[in-house]
Amino acid sequence: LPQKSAASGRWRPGFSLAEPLSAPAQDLFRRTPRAGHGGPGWARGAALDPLTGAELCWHWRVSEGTIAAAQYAVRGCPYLIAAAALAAERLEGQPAASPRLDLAALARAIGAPAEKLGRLFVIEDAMQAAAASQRPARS
Amino acid sequence: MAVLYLDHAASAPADARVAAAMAECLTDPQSAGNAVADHGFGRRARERIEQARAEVAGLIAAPADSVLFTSGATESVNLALLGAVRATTSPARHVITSRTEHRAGLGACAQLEREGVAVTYLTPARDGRIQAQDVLAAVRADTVLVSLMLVNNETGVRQELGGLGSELQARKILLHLDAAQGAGRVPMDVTALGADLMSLSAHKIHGPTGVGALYVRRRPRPALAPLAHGGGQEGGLRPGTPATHQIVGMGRAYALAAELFAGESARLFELTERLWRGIAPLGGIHRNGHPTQRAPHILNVSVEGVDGESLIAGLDALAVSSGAACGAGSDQGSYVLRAMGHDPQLARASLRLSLGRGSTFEEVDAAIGIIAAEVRRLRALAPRVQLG
Repeated sequence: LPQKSAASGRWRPGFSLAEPLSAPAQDLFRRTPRAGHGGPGWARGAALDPLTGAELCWHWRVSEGTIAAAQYAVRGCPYLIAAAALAAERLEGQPAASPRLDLAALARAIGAPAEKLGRLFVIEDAMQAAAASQRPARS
Repeated sequence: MAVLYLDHAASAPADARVAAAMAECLTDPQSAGNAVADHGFGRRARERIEQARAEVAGLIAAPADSVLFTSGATESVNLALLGAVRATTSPARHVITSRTEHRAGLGACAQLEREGVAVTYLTPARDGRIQAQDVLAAVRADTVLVSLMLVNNETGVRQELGGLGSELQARKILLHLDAAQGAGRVPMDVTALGADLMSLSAHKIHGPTGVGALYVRRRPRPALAPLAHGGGQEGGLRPGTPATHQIVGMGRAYALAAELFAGESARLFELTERLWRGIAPLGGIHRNGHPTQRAPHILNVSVEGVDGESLIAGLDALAVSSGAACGAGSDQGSYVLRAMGHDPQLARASLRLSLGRGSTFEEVDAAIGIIAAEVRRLRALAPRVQLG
């Protein structure tokens, strides 16, 4: 709602000109749960979208082949940041060598518009890079 | 949550004195007539309009009868460009403009191109300035019009035209200046600028939306073809019943801008410099556009290491414009900054912070704190090793 300045007595608009985010995306974008840069011995996998400059790096603490903790470092649009936070939660407990994520389901859960789906691919690409590091190397 | 309004270049809230003048006009039964009517009610409305015309003309040092009212700067720009070119009889016609013009100018040029007119789009220097010699070098035998923004709406860069106006007049080429962002912000004298046509806005300087003006040089008067047809109002160039209260509001806004010009310009310049000094220490902050040859109310910066959309989403306590938003629907970022040769990523991560009459030092300091906190948060979130 518009606000009236006590000092000047003038009205100010009570809204931001930024495109509003969906409520779940806004919440995750603000709180960024599980954001982090991992620790010693954590598995790592990163990806970059050269078109938008978006980048994401997964850090997984792997215990007995399972992702015990997932953290992410990310630079990108608010929907990518929100989706990374949700993806981190969904990755925990999955097999580190072959985790699965449904990007469309992530997008729906955070209320991302259809045109933003392409921005989320780095989540999957980085996941595949991290998962590859957990598979035995072929001789 | 209170939102700090730092988007005066998009629209500056109407001054209370402007609103009062408009309300008084709307509620004055003696001014309720159609301004073209012969009775007293019409005469009173006409008098109000003529007073406003003189007030608008006063700010740009022009004769009152050289100003005609429109619905806003976009219409003025279209009338200037389309009107001037369509009024020429020559079959081959050429227009010169720049790649950093407002969409109103670029849109009008695109329409001219569809009508078979050749258009040259000049590329500015990295600081946003267009050199007069570059304009003159682009002149052809069939050039009929040069159209430039006096002050760029994104960067605030003010064009120093030097003797461009007189050089063009000598070649019988019209000069149109889009001064929507310049009026009331930088000194303006249409004669000194050598402008034949100048587009003006009301709501950029605390007037109402929905009204603007076009200055048309008196002698020699450029021929203009109207965009609309019907009545003979505004010299036949802008037919339709004049919106008396809107015009009164614009007149009051321009009179106030003239009255407050010196103090307000200096204060806004100081405020934008304070804003710059406050956020520059974050590091990786690039100031876009010439640092001093600019309008006092606009600061445009790009922020390294963050995504433009996230930056603007994170700054929801501030009402600002961004390069990311300017390119809504695309990943390209601000076309103005890209035309100036800036990196597309930085063009996306740009902020236009624009201040106005109500802006205070306290607000600027609060904005610095909000921007610093959000930039630090987003940078901390980013991967530590730059990929790619």
